Amino acid sequence: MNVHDCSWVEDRLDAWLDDELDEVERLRLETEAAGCEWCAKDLEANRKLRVAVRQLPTEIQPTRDLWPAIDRQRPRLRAWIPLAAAATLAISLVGGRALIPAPTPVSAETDWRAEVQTANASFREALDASPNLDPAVRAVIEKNLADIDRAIGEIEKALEQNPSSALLQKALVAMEQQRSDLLRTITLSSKAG
Amino acid sequence: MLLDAPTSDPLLVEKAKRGHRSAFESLYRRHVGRVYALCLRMSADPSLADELCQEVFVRAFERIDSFEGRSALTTWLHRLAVNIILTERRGSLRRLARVEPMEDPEADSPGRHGKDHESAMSLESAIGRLPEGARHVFVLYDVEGYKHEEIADLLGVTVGTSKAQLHRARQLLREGLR
Repeated sequence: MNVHDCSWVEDRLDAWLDDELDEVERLRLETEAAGCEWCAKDLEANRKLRVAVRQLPTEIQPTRDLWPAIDRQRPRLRAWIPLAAAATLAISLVGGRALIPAPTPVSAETDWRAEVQTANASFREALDASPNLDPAVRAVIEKNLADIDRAIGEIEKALEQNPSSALLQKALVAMEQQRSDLLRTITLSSKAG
Repeated sequence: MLLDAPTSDPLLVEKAKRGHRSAFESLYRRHVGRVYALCLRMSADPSLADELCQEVFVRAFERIDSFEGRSALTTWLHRLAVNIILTERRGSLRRLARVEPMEDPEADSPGRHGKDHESAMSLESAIGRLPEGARHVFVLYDVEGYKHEEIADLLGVTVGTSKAQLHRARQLLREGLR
């Protein structure tokens, strides 16, 4: 007759939980546990643990809505026109059609505006130094840029009168973003060409 | 404003890559529960979990362009969350005031609260009182389904240590359920 060994049971509780015992060992463990009050409680606790883990909710909501803070830190993504579309863009420009990229998402935060202006300066330098740009294309680009700059100037004037206008602030950033999009696209296009 | 459901994750990701704010928000609303559950169980601190969860989504949105859709978005987010949690626990977020988990099981064992708490909610509470190392392994292995090899890699420990921590965690939790 075997002498009951609590440690033999305890050593196999994890394996029981993980279904790693073969049938013979599992039956022996359950038989041994049934004959010992301490081991029976251990095995029962194991069963409760297994059930409780399976019942844990897969989702828990934060203590507060985190979205506003996340939104404030969201990267200022811009809808760059893909390089693949650059050729189409150039053709449109040669045809003399006024071209301003579709409105892209904006942020009203002023620090972003500074980033855009810095990026614009960089793109502008690249554009000015670009040897591959057709003069006719350049002329149309310059006209579009002038149109955007004029719009920016008008919005800035309006902002002087009404500096707290969220609508004007957004419009300003949107126009700067369009300018940036155009400069970047053309720069990339001329490099590719 | 949320997009109309059901919009698939891949579509939302594409829109997010183009900068659509509403797509970001939809992705956040859709996945925040799972991410926060992981952050809370790993950190055992609701306030810290808020910070961690926020950081996960900020970084996820910063890196959304790198998500190529080879795995499900939830898997990608989950991996990112685990990495952030384990990194931040050693870093700046630890400066936040928090109640340290017990190190001495005799001082405040989950077992002391066990008889009245046999539901999943009591398990939740008991997990929060586990020592940090045991808690991390338990959550990753038993709750999230990671393998010991993966956990060892994530935590920078050996597989044997991961197994030992799991054994310790289960032992303490069993005491709470006896």
